[in-house]
Amino acid sequence: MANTPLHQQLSIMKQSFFDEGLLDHEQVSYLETLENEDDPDFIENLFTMFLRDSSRYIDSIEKALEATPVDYSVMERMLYQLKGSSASIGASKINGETNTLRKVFHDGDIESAKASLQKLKEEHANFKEKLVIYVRMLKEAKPSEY
Amino acid sequence: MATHINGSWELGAKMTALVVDDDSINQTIHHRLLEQLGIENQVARNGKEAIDIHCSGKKFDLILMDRDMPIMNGIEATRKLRAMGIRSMIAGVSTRCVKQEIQEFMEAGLDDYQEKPLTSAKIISILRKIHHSGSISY
Repeated sequence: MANTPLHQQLSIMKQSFFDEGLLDHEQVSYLETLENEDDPDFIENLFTMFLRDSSRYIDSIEKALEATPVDYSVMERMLYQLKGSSASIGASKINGETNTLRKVFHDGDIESAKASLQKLKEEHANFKEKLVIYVRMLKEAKPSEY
Repeated sequence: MATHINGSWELGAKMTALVVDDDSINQTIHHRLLEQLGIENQVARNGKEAIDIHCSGKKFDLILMDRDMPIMNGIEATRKLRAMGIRSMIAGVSTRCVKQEIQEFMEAGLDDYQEKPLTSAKIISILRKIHHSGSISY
């Protein structure tokens, strides 16, 4: 694997994800074992999918929580989906905040749930900003098709 | 690590699997996991699709069944498949860890249950059960 400045940048960025607790080292290392010449875009595709899906789940959660009455079944379903996908790609902070929101929501305190959702949205926005850059760098680091 | 040769698992034929999961990330990971183990596999997005695929005549050595899915969940799909006479190895896959919920899923007709996320080690442990129990459908 080439050790160009771009690859070094990627390494540094990846390490900062781990250091900041945004990504779980073990889970990401595991996912990297699934990527090879047969499927060289595996990680990039996973992260891209997560960026898309997680935004959608959070939007649905927000709408469901703002509805009168609160849409419990959508909340339950979306929280479960977000918990699952974030665990699958190792997005630890998102997973943690989702679990917190689930607990608060199950306790029945809607106002606290709304506050918890704001925290989740902040974490998500922060993670998304960094992950978008990382995915772009992953694309650029791929060898040319020619 | 693996004790298989080109996905044959000493059975003399390429193994097949069906991944039943509504989440695109899990679909991608599980599909890739199985592919890397040399297991030919396809994906169904929910229990109903899994039933339809079987109704079209397809059979699999292994079914990885997610619990919570829209339209038809894993519990109902497992029950239906067993009622249809499908004897494939069905492994329930879920993030749920409440004993009662796992029990309910097992009682629907699962041969095994694994917590997400799946790893190749977990899949290999499921596959070993197929080899020992001989419950393969061709």
